[in-house]
Amino acid sequence: MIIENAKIVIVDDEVHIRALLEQTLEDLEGEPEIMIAANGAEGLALIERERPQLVFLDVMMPLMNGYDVCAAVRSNPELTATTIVMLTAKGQESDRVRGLDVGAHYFTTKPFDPDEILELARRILQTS
Amino acid sequence: MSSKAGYLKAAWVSQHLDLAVSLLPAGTAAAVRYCGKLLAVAGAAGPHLADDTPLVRSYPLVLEGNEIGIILLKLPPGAAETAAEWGGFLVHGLQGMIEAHHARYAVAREALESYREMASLRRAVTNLHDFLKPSEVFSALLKEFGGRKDTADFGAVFLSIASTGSYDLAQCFGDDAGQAFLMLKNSPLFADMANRETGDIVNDLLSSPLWSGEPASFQALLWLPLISHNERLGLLMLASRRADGFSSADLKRAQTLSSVAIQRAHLLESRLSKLNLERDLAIARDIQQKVLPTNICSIFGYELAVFNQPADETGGDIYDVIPLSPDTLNGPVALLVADATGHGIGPALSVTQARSMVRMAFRFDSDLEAVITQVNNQLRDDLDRSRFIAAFIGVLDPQSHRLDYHACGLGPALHFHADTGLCEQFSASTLPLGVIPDLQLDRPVPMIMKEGDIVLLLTDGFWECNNAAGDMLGIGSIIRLVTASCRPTAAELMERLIAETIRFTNGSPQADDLTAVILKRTSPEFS
Repeated sequence: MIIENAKIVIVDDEVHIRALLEQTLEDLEGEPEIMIAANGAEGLALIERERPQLVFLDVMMPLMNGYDVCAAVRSNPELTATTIVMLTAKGQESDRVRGLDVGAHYFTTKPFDPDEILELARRILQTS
Repeated sequence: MSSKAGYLKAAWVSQHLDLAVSLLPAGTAAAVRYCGKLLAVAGAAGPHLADDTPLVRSYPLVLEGNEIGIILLKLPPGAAETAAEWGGFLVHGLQGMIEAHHARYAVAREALESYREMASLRRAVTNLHDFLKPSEVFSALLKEFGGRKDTADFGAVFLSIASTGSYDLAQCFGDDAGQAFLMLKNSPLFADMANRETGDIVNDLLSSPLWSGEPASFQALLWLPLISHNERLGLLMLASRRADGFSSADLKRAQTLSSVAIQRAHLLESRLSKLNLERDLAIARDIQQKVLPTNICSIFGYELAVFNQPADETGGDIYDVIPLSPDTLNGPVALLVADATGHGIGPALSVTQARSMVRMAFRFDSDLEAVITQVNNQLRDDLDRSRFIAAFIGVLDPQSHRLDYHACGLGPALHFHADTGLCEQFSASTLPLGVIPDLQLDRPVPMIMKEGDIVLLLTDGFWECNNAAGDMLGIGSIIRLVTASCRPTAAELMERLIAETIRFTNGSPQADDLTAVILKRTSPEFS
């Protein structure tokens, strides 16, 4: 069972990735609230305001990149329950190392597999 | 466009329905039914509204001609006519918003389903590439279908047996699948499927005239011939418990994955064949290299230099230096340079075989003609008619400085006379070995080695080597090299010969094997 009233934030500057992720997560049980941000700065503000259990965070974005957003979230003591999944481009494995350094919990490569994303989200929302 | 449940979220609809009702007189109730379910309500009476509730007005939600739901609205008794009009106006607005929302979601869902299918295919293709044996690839292919709950309940791969034209059940999944597919294999439907060039689906098996009714658990079938380079490898078969088990999309997916699997299996087979061939060639090369003498015997008063470089992993050339007397320093020595037709594994085997024959023949008889006759006749018996071996076989007596020989199709041999500075050419004196039985062997005039004289025994790979422009080095260039050299040792002359060949070809690939034996007399008259 997924926790009730779960909140998920998607932060990605690519509109089709946002739409596909949103649609994928619509299939989660319990109708979690899914919120969208189109850049890093907007995403950080949304995360700080909504305090979601789960964030899907792109790495390369305008205004504020994913590493900086992740570092800011991790340094905020009120957001310790927020799990961050970073979205990295395929082949850029070095992103993982940097992402781990700034406190990301999971990584998934784009193009992502919807079934894997769902499984990951279920696992995180069950345990968070 | 489908009206699949789940495109509209209850929270979103409730929010807008609440807003609309809040703008209408107190006591107004509304409800939205969507895809056969109550999705959202507003007002105290909202949950109890039905089409036949008195005073209820209904507004159908329609998308592309299909009714996807309905909005029910009930104003309180005695509400003003203007309120009713205003209510109708609001609901029409909501109706449009819901329809647009549904359409947007439907498009997004379809995009996601396509994306999901692509991701699934990508994952499946990646999985297929994790296997290294062709048989494992088909097993993995089957697992891709077995792992999808929504596709097949049963699956099997039958592999074709070329010798009998029949099929063997190789892999399967599903409850009692082995028995079920073996039962199916005996049915007229299987015989029909096995002969088809393309795959197909049969839903509602019971209505098929070729269906025998067994196994009873099969209600629908999907099959696909596995064909690679016009060769029928086998048959992929999926079965469902549902009569409408398969769609054309399932068949397309099966075709895509099967193509990848077949291509992968084909590549693996080619790779395995290549690895086996490389291993065999490495063994052949090892055997051949081991028979080439590395420690050339010393001959008193003479220098010897040898060289062999195959064009392929294995070569069709060979050389040998065979002492014919226990006194290896002063006794006679046989010299062999041989070149089998072609190069590669076949000639390599022939020439290695010929070298052993020559050695054995010299052990039993040191007479040159007897040796050549024996070897020639044996090769004639052993070799295919298209194969023969050109060879120079000679015997040097270091005491008389006489080199007797027969050049069996190999030539010219070069004799550099140190006293005149001229280079003499000796053409082939008879036919190559293995062409006809009982060669006529008229012994040529022997070469007499004087102090400083050099004999070069080369295979045609040297003078026939080409540069990028297609020009040939030619025997003349080699003769000039020998005559222009200032009293080189045998080893120095060999180095210059190789260097000249490399300079001339200038990186062009080596087309033929290169073999050389250079003999130089260094001593004055034997005393």
